[in-house]
Amino acid sequence: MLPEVILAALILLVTFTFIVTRQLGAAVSTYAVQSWLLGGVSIALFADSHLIQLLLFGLLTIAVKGIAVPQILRRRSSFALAGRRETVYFVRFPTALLIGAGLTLIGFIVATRIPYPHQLLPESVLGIALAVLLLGLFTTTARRDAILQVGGLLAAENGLLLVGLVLAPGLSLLIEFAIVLDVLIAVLVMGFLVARMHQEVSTTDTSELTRLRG
Amino acid sequence: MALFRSHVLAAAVGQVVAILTVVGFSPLLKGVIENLKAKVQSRQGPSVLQPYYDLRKLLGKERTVTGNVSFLFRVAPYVVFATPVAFAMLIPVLTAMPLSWALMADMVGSGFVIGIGGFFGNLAAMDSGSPYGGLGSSRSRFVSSLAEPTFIVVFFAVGFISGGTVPFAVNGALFTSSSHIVPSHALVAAAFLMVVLAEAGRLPLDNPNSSQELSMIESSRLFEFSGPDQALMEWGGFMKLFVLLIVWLNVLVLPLGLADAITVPALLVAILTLSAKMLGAAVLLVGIESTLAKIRILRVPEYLGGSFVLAFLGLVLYTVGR
Amino acid sequence: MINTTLLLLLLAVPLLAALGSVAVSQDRIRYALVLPSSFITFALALTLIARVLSGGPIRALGDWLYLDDLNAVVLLVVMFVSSLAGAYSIAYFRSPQQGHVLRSGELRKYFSLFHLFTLTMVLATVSGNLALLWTAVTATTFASAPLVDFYGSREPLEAAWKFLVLAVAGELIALLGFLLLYASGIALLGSTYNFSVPVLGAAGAHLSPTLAGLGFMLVLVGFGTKAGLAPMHTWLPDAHSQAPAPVCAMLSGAELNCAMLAIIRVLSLATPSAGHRAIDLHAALLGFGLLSMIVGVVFLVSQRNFKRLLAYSSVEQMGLIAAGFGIGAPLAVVGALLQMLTHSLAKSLMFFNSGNLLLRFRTTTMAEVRGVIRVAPATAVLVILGALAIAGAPPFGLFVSEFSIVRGALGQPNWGAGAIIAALLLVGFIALVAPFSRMTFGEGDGTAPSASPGSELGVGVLAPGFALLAAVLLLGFWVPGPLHSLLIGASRVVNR
Repeated sequence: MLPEVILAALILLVTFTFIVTRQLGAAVSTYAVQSWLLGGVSIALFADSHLIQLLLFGLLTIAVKGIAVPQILRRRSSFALAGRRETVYFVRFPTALLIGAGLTLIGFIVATRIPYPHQLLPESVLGIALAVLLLGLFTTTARRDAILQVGGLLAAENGLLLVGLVLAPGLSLLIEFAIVLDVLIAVLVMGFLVARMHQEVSTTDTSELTRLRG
Repeated sequence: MALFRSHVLAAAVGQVVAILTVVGFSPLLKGVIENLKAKVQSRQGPSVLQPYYDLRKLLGKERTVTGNVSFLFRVAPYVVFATPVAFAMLIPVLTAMPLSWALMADMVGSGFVIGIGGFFGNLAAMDSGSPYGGLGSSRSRFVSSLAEPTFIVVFFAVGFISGGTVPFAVNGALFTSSSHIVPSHALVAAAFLMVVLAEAGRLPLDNPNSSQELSMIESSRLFEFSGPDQALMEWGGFMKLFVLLIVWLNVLVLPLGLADAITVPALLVAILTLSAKMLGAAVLLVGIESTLAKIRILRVPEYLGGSFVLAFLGLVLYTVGR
Repeated sequence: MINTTLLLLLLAVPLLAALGSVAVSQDRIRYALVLPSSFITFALALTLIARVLSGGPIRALGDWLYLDDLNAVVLLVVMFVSSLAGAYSIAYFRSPQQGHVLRSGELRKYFSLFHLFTLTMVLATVSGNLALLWTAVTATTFASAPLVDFYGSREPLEAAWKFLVLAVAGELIALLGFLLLYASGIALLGSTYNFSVPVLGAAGAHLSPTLAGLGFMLVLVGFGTKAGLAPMHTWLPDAHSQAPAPVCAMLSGAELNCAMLAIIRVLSLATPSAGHRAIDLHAALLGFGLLSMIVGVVFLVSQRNFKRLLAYSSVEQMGLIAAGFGIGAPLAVVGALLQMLTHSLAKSLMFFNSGNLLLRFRTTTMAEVRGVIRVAPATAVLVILGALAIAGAPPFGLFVSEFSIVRGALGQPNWGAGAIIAALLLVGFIALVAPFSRMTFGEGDGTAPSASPGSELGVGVLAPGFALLAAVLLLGFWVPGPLHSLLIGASRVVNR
């Protein structure tokens, strides 16, 4: 059980990069690392439980989210990554940091309150998973840049899959396949819109897109 | 125990070996890091023994001291050299069990010991009257005082989890308990690494290879020293990084492979595993220093604030999970 | 067996149409594909609904596909809206007054995504596995967001981005809800079980009440974002006002209902186990419903753009539907189900009207559209009658459904909600009818550039509107027998 928990703890650490980074490229590589770690958790769980779908899910995660999705994102946003531009928050940096810490805490507290049937992973991983979900959603709402917003959503989705591994490791592979496929399509559509954004306003800073009001 | 008849003698030998390890191997760590960094940048790079050559050269030179400095300037190199050595007695360098002097101070106390060196370094740099020395001192104080809270919270968190703050007692206690401390543990370890990098004057706060006086922190404090004084100051710096990394490795991350008894084979194995861990740490440092750019001095509070938040989170999460 | 085939055909036809739209090189063929595809899909859907009425719920492919009365109601809504939106699209893009010059490849993108959008919504209404339901509802976002960005300028892009980001965030929260719902059955069904509607429905009261209840709350917040419930509705007025008119009709008329279907489905699965706490689940739904109505009505009053006006009307109407389900009285639930249908018909009609007004006046600003009755009488008839219909005036269908909801709510011991709903509907009525009547009958101040008399729009863009108007009028007088039993059956599914 310990390897899974350590990998999960590393996922939490890596997710903080989304909160602190100022570089667009970091979002993509952080997501890749996070996905590899998630795949690692699943494969380690397979070693413990011998549920074959966990092995396949781990490999699928690494192949699609650790390799394919970052590739697509990099290609779609190469123009934005090329400048190594620094991005900004809608909130100030220390505030963002404190909110991130608060959300992590909330994730852990909530995890202790959910009376879920204990399966393969301990409660602390559920806390990590919920924290990653919240941190991802926070990144999406608090970051101005479209690429980081996408990164936040994808990170949140990884957190959810970790929740899935805690709550329902027996969920069938077909379902997990559907969810991963969903991510792939999401990235394609979002990548398309990010490219459109660059074409339209020559930046991926969404604060340029505030004409619709009321 | 066949070799050393008495416990006292064994402990003393262990202590001496630990100190010699720190004094002897710390320049090697510096050399390995420089060499690896050069390799990453597709350069040949200096030999891993280069720091030893430099130290020998400096030690062989004549000492030059400006006329209008007080005794502080003369004393400082010795203090800067001595404090990491004293610190090495307090932490598990090679052995899992505490040695005779290890219980003199807990983690907070050891923090003070290492702080004395920095304090004297700053005083001496200002004493020389060089503008760069003053600049370096003030920046160094700036970084250290901001790193202080993180250190304290890390100590608290570790003490809270393991029920004690003596490094030898902490060592291991983090690893025997249940899985719910793992998240806290990871956060605290990450926070500690961040402040270690700050304290030892590494990237992303300070570029140890910088040749621009205006952006320097640590290295600008050394400008007025020469010959043996400079050698001691630099050696002290190498050792500081070395011992702080030992704390990170042997207390917080991987307390495996330490000697259980003072015997020659056990100590040899311990030195070998320590070398392996140090090599890992060197690779990690090179990875960090090749990917991260130096952050602006005004963003130092963000960096150290981040480490503080991580450490504090680690502390709080432990109480939540219980 | 035949049911499985029919269900698969129902999914295959839009898929083939989408593939065909991608593959063919001529726009003529692309146009020609639309009507046969919608006609066949509609016929298949009606056949399946008839079979549900006669033989009970259809289960297929190990419960991956499932069609019961509740699903059937929304399937009917989706098919109605998407068929007519397809027909309207053809006429809209071919209309001589069309201001948007189609670039090459735009129609390929439009029609392939249009069919995919239909496919994902149909899939959402026939999925029995809850994970498939989530995937399908999520997929509707990905099919529709590029359609919102169809006109390819700054504002549609902004709307599409907002829509995409908020909808995906909501869907992730909903997924957490579905995972908790799955966990709620583990104690009873084991760690690996078929996560489908019939299985969980049979488990009934034996699910873990806390997990199922929590799961519902998260699905409510998550898919509530997609269903346009306040305060998560902020993307809706942008997306529903920037998309091309037929797409707006699909977004407002069909897609919102698919998200609502998922919410109601989880509600129906979570309530049996909740016991006396079920009232909390209903109260949450009612609370979001009332808040959405209030927000919708408040923003209705201050709009200057008629497409945004209609979008806020959707917020209000989805709030009403949620409130109807939240009240939980049988009459209110039937009313809410009927409201799904009538609102979709009327809202599609109004979005077609908005497209017609845009064709005719080249603007969506209300102040620049005056005296429609004098320049284009047929368009004006549709506009003013449609506005009355959407506002819930008798004798249109919405009056019946809204009346049922209010009546059901007032029959409850806690009748305050009913009173609030009635008051909000009244304000909403004025806020909706007044601007459209000014646009229809008002004296023009001459600013409208092309308001010369006697230039009526073509039959193609008006006919779908008249069809919808007839349907919504018919529902005001008479709910056909099969539809009636379908609604009753669906309300039993909701209120188990």
